[in-house]
Amino acid sequence: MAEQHERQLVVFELGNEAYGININAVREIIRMQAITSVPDSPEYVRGVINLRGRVIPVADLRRRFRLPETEASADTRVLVVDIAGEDIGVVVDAVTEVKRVLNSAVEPASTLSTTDASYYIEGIAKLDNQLLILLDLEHALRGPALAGAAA
Amino acid sequence: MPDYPDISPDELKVFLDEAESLLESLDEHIVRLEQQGPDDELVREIFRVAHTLKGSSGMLGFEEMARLTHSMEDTLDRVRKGTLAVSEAMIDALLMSLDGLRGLKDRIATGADIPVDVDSIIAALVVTAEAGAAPVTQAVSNRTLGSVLAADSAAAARVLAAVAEHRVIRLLRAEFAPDSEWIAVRCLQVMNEIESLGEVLASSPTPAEIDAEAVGTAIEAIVALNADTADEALEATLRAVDDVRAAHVADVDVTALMLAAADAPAVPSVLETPSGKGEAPTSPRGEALQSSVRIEVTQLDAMMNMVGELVIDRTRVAQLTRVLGERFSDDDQVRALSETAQHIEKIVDSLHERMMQARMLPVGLLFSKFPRLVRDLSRSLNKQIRLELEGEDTEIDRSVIEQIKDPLVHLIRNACDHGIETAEAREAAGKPAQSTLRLVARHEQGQIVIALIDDGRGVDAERVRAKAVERGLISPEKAERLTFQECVELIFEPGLSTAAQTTEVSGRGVGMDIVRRDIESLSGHIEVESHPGEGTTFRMRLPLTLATFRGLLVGCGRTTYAIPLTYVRETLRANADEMHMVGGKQVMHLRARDAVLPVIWLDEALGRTERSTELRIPSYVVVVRASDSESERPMAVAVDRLIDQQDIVVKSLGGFLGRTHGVAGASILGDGQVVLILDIPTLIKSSQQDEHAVTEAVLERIA
Repeated sequence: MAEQHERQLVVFELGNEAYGININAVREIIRMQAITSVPDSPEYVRGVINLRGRVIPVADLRRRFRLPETEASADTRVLVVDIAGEDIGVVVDAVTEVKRVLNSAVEPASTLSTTDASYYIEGIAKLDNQLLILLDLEHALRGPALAGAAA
Repeated sequence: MPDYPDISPDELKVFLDEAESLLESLDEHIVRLEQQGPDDELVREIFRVAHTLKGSSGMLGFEEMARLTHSMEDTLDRVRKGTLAVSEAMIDALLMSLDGLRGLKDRIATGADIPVDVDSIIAALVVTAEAGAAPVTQAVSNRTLGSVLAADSAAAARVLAAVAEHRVIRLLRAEFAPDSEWIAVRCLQVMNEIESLGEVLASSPTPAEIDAEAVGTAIEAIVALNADTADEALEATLRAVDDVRAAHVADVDVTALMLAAADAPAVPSVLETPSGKGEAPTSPRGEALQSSVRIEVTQLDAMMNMVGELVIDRTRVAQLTRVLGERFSDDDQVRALSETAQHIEKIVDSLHERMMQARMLPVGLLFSKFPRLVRDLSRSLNKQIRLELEGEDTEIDRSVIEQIKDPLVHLIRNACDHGIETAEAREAAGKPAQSTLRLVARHEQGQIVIALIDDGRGVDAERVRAKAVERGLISPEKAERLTFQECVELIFEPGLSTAAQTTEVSGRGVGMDIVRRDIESLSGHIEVESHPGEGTTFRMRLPLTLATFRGLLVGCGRTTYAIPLTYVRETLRANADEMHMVGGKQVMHLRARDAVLPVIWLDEALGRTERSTELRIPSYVVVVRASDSESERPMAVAVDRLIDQQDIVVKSLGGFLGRTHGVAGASILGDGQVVLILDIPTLIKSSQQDEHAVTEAVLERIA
């Protein structure tokens, strides 16, 4: 089998930044729906939703990255991702596209500054007209409290 | 699974499933045999199981398994015949054989190279049989001969006459190699030898039986000797016969013999066929087994899920048809729809009930593994512990059964390791050397209660208190104010271990917090009760099934919650004059019962809003109680709306959210809405703790 020299990413927007996560991690993308809040849950977890008869928790990356809260828009989506065997929903401002990115275009996180941010960033992809932040979702959702969003 | 050229995969699967079930049976029975001693029924049952296993393994060509079971069968046959006493060593050898059989079965199932030394296990069995036969208790052999004498009054008379004549009377016994093919012939030869020594007064097997070849693996005879020959010489004579593996000579306790004869049922000699072809009595279970089927658990779970969905939809359909029925009461089609909908509802309910039943298993299936566990533990810890089981046929959903196994094992290990004292310590304390551990299961109001009760040393509350302070879990001041019960409950805190030394058996005893977490993740609860010097009781309450329950839907503000009906005692309209504030907290005075109940507001209790110190009058209250035991106090939940009573399908919240205080799970209603299921016992407990804190605050102010 030929060596993988590129990866496929789901690109979404959060705040003013564009992020990408590996398509393999995304189970589905659904519209925003009513969220039932659950008391005593982590601060960045909005609550739970009904996904075709299953109850899954929904996390808010805005809260996680300490971005100001906004109203949901028609573009708001929920990415259903597989984190350690469990389905978790992640609220994002919009999902823009699915993109193929060459591995050679990715700058790994280790070469970036060693702030808290690098904990949940896998790297930065340099594309023609933008920078894409490759998110390590597992760390982003499960790590300790973060100090600030990616610079 | 590896391939066996002559066996189809289906055949193999059936064999393995059956083998597993037989092995479990053997395990249980053998341990019970050890505890109860030889019981005819039990031994026959064990023999039957081993025999079945031998048959099926032999048929498929699994030679080693057949050989090993044959050996077990032999041993058991002699116990069955009363010619071999059950000894500790024999039980060990039988259990070792069982482990060997398990290993063989696993090897067959997985193809893995599991070493099982069948020969040495068989040797062990044979050795214990030898050892067991040597000091054959008079009682055992007297029983066999006793029944002979009971049947044959002439023989009895002969024995008495010989005694009266002061003749030298001896009990002679010869044992044959079990695989000898000529045992009947050998018996004849032995009889000839004996007849040359004196007069045979009675023998087992009798001459008639020998003729009919109805012989076992040994022969016994009461002989009036011609001369006062030494025992050794007699034994040598017997051993000279081919195939005689062992010979014993002993005194005859005529009185005991006669008593045994009086007791023994005068059964004419049972013409039992030699071991290996013994008749397996058909157990009533045997017939029932034919009419049941095996089904993959995944199938069952999938069906259960679908039925769960059906239940939700059925509720929804009922709502919709009701609305339609009211709106279009004249429309024929709508009426027809209503009727059909009602019929569907009935069928779905039936299906649901049967599905639940199908998923129910007697909790004894889980318990059956424990006697062996306790036996092994008591051996390795050098303590005497006996496990008593009660309520084994209490039924519980199979999903719950799977999940409580680990917590139970842990609790049992803990009790044996830390709770129960050594025999010496117990005797010094005036207790019986053997400790009794009781595992009890029973139904109580829609829940299953499983209790583990030991009569050990109890929880050392002071030690726990000290450890908690030492580990920084609570402040010294707070620690001092804890009641005895609260100290005992500290054992559930993570990071606490009071084991003086860690033992190989249960590690550091720090699993209690995990046990509680496991039980609570099943929407269950665990409580502990302890009396110093007398023992400790752990009581677990679990829902009968994780899948569905009946719940009360209530509305509080904009949120809908579900309260499991099993906790609901009553629902009342709230009266302003029944509400009071006491010490900053709201209480309700139920005049009809002259009871004062704390009132909780869900938003506050669940941490959504700050606690208010103002009196608020809700529209309704739901009086809830964790159980009906005296120690449980009821509580009033303030709600704005009482919505409905319905079947709630439980959906787990998953692990991502962590431990959510006060919430036991979630459910999806017919209209797709997600509602939270309240964890009533935890909410009650919190409110009681608050009370405690309030009382403390009040006390402080006074001090």
